[in-house]
Amino acid sequence: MEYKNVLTTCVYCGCGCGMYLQVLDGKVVGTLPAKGHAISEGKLCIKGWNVHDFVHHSDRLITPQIRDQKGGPLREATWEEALDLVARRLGDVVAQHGPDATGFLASAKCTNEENYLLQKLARALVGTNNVDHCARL
Amino acid sequence: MIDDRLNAVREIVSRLLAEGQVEGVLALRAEPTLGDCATTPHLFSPGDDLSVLRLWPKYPSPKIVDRLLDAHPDARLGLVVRGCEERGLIEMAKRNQVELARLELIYVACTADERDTCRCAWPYPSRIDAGEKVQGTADALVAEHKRRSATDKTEFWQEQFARCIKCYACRTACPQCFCETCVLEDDLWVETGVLAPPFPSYHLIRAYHTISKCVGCMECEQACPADIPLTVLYTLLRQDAEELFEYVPGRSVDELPPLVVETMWQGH
Amino acid sequence: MRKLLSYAGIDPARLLLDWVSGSEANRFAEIVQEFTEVVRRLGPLETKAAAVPGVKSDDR
Repeated sequence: MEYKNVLTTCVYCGCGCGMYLQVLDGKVVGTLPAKGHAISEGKLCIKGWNVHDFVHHSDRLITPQIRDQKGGPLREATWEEALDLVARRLGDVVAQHGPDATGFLASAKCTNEENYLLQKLARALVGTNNVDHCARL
Repeated sequence: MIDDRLNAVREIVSRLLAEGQVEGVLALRAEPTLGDCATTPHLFSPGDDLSVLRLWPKYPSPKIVDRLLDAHPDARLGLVVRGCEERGLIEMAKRNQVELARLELIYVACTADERDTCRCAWPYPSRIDAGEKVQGTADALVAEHKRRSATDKTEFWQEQFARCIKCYACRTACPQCFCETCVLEDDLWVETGVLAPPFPSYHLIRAYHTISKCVGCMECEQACPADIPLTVLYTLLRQDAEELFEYVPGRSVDELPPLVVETMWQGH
Repeated sequence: MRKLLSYAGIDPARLLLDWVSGSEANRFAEIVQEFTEVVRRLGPLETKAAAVPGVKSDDR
């Protein structure tokens, strides 16, 4: 029997509540609020309490999916292939229509640092200020 | 003195693990990432470093150990328990949630500080392996509530419940909440998609369902993001159950809950 | 349950528990009628508007 609690941060919103994921025999089976955490003080909302449910959920996408033609089916792909495709197509669009023809949507589920990097990519590399965030919608 | 208590627990855990009576001992370990006083539930295995073992702040360990025993039907485990946790396990055992015979309990008495944090009336287990017994305290919030007029009581709870975000943390944290379908998720009683839940359905239903089970471990109240003093209601009801049925949750594994006894008398 | 209602400041007289056998239709009707009168006399439950108004999550 192997049981451990892994301290982590809730991915659901920007609050950053502290939580433990209960891992039993290599599987995430439950969530516990982290008592004494500076932000959440041992409390979670309903989403936080149920965060473990999606980890092994059958509906969860675990590989990138590519649609080869409009209206066609999605197929599983590797990260390398998917990122190559995205980079190539973004490059095409920028070359053809300029940087402002692209937009970058960040996520509350990422860390500050990851979001910083995304906006840096948009502004410095691609050259557009079209950056937005799901928490602002 | 607190260190004596901690050392006593470590010694017993160490002996249990060395003797091989149990596969592991569920206790708390330090969580230095969150500061000097943070803990997390941890399963200690033979050979583990016990210097990281801690006792406070507590977690709903009866609920956790139940999960571990369920997943490993042949396993025997050690468990460090406080008074409330021992009583919680007893109530769970009465309802076939946990097999006490598969647990080796290490009984810990709470300190005065811990008692005060939990406003606890019964801060010690049936037997004490570590720590020293301190007397229980009467919950000042309960006394205060008793002094309120009927109108003030309604107003008080309306204000408290209005902050409820219906996160179900009180139910999720509760070791005694193990029903597979929960009435609090039934649209008939608690309308879905409405915040706060309309007074007083959600909270009074939950309060009613804690009777004869709630041992006052405070996990619900400590988990409540809205800081609603839920246990005030539960304590009042526990006092009533003692007065009316002479029933004290967790006192003895042989005492049947009043509702079960009533039903048996009626021949069902 | 009456005690629980009283802790929430709700008049326990608003709750009636009684036993009626399946063959006692008249008694059942009587009890319902009487209790309906009792509740009608007590009037609606005085609940002041909640501090945080209830919102449908759809409204957000």
